[in-house]
Amino acid sequence: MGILSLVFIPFEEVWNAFRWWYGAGARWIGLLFLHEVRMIEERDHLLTWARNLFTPMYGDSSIQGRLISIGMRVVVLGYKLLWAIVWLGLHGVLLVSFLLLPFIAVLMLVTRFSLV
Amino acid sequence: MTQSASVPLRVVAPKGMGGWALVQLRSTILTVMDGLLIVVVTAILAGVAALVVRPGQTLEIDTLLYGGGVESKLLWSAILLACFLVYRLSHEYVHNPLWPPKSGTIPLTTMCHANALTLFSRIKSPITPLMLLKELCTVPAVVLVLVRSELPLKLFAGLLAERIQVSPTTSDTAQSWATGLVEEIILRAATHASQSHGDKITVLDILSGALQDPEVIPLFQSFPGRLESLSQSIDRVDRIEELRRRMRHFGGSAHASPKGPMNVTMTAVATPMLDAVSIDCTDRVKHSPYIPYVGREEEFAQLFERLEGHQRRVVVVGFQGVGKSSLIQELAQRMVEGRVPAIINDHRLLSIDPSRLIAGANQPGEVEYRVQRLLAEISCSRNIVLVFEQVEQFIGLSSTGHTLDVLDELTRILEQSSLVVIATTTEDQFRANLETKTNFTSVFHRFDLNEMSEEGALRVLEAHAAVSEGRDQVLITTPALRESIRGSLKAIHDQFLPEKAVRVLDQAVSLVGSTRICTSTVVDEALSGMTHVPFGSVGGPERELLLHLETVLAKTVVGQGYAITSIANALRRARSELANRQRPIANFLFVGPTGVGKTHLAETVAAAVLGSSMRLVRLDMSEYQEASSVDRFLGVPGSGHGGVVTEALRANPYALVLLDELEKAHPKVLTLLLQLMDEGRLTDVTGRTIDATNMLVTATSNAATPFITSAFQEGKTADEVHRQLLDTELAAIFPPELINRFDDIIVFEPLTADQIRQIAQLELSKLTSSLKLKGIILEFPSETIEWIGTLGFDPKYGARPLRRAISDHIENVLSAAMLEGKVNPGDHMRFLPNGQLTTVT
Repeated sequence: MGILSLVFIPFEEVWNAFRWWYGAGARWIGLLFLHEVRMIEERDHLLTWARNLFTPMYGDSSIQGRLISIGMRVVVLGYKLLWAIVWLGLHGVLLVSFLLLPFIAVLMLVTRFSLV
Repeated sequence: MTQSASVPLRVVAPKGMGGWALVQLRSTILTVMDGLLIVVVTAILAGVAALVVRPGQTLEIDTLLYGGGVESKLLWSAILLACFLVYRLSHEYVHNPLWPPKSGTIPLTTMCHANALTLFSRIKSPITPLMLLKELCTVPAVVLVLVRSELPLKLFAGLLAERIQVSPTTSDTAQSWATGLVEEIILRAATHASQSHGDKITVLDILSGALQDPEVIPLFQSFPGRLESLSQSIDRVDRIEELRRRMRHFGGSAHASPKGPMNVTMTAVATPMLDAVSIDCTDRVKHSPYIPYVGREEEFAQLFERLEGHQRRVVVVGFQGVGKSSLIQELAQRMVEGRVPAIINDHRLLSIDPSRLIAGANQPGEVEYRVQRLLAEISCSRNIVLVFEQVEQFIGLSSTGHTLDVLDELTRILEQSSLVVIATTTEDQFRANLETKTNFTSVFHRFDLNEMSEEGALRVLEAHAAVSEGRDQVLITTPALRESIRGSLKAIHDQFLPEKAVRVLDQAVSLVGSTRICTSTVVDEALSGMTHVPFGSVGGPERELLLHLETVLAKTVVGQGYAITSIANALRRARSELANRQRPIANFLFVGPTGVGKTHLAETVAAAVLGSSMRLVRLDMSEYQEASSVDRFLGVPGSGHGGVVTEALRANPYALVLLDELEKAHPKVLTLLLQLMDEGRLTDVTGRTIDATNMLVTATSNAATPFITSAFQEGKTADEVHRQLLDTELAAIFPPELINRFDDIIVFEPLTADQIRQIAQLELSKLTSSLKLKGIILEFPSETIEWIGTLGFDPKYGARPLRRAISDHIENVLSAAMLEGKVNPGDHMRFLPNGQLTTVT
């Protein structure tokens, strides 16, 4: 390792960055996405609500109670589902951006703007 | 490292002094580069923004992205540079699944965290493991670990500096050798990192790797046990980090979970009676500080297995302090986090409080009504897990003179329901009150919670210490944790792990002084205070006393050299912790004629060791001649109190127990002594166990006196007398199993005329000392000592006639002279053999 090696630091780092981005970094962002999927169930209990769609709320088993309960559950479930789709969509965009953005940026700079 | 040898992985460390300087330079360049990147990216983005929002000109998004203008070029360059910046700032903290690599040549610079790398760059080349260790000792995280392992830092640093000076580092061979060793350390550190936290190598990983180096290990020979403590302290850091992670996760779950009695799916039914008579454990843990519960993963898995199976009613049986309440608390925490089987997920954990159940019930039948309503509510609701802590409390609840067995009522209902119920009770209570209730045992399935292992208890203490350190602003060392467990196991026998160790640690934390460091010495102090048994290393006056105990005892006990040596050896063995810990320190039987010093020796031993808190518990066995004496010993059955003896022993766990005139005790009492002497414990009528492992049991007996006296008169040796005594004489008086329990049976020889004279000299010197306090100087010439020794000598009664002779012939004369005014303060007198006092001029 000589003093000249310091000159190559930027090149080394670019190569390391590429390896990290599509290796450990991609895995990290993928796990983050999966974590969010799990967190949605933990926080909003979508599956639990879906399973209990026909379970009467507040233990009211009368016909009226059941009808109100189903209606209420459909509304709440719909709201939760919408929120989950938006939230996961944002994270999906983040995941896709992470994977594609450097690639697109290089492509744009190289091809369209004739930087090279 | 054995593992590194099998992995074809090679770390390339920079060579020579220049190499390490380059590492430092490289590190600086990268830091500057990161700073520049942040500035450049911000500047470019600001430039793009300025171009986009130029006054009077609108820029379409398509133009910005694909237009090919300067703003597009700047934007895409900024995006690319921002990606690079993301890599630079996060690559050290993102776990790489392929790390550590299985093979290949890896530059050191890519394996370590930046802070660990800085450590290397600070060292002047060539690096040896010792130099690396020295540099490590300057890093704050390492210093904290060193303090936590109770390593004397100054001494250690001095020793390290000495060793570095004498190690070869100048030649090329030495350089290559040194680099190789450091590479080995890095590989060990990599293994440690991947096994513990799976990230890049940290400074503590390098410390862990360095501690396994053959050049470093001998350093710790001067600090016994500290190498292990260091390794444990390093691992403790990782475990504390894991607990913090769990705490954060719990906080998030508690925040997201529904508040109050409602469940997630809103199926809950209003339960006003149940809410009034119970404590909502799930709600309580959401609003309380998180208490980590560790060391019971296996038990939890078993419990969940049972709940998921057909055993939905479980009674947790375990001794006091094994963690039954903590188990319930952890269950509540897991229910909040949703880390439980589906059958109890999204449920409330309600603990029925018996005092609330009967509070204010002043009408006949009111408790029954409450119970019926309670059960009705439970049947309707679908999100409740019931808990009955100390379930035996529910057996005979009463109000307004009407007694109702709530437990019977509950079990009757539960027989037909699928409700999940968890009850807790102690082993004793289960045996006494529940085992015989067939309806209870048919509904509830027993789940044993055994005493925690030492390792499990250590994990609990680590978690407890992590909370305590933050709350009490103290630093608790790893040896202090170990000592809490070791000491509580040794001295506290009526409680169980982990609670007893936690109590000891809490007590120690309260004793911490201005240094705010809770060390093993502080734990020993706490243990000594709690149990009255000396703990910790023997030092100072106590060490001197134990080393010269024979000399100290011989100053007041004349003759009986064998007895003195036996007792001194037993005490030394006990204090250096070499003795068998399941028995008393030693069991001795002193036999011999009356007045030869048997009781006196026991009293002298207790008095000599009294400074280190040993007490004398004297039991005159002539008071225990009747069969009913057993009640005095252990307590009267049904009284709820222990016996006279057991209470005295409980109050003095570090004592010399003197059983005077053992032959007079009733055989039933002797049977009780068998347990005390063999197992080192005694259980009173209330079921409490008295620990006798720190007691020195000394029994005296005048049995076989005629035989001993005549045998010595016939000129038999002590060994012959001892053998014959065991074979025939004592066997006729004591049961053989009792004789077997004694470590030694010491025969006290009849005192000779010369020994009586020595005793006379001792007694008279005591008299001289007491008169000196009154300002009177009294001399006893050798003729007087000879004279009184002759008067007080009787081979049949030992030293007792001497006591009478001194009283009759000296003390009487002296007291009369003092009253007559012949002897006054300031006088210097001499006592002559004819019993006359003369003034010394």
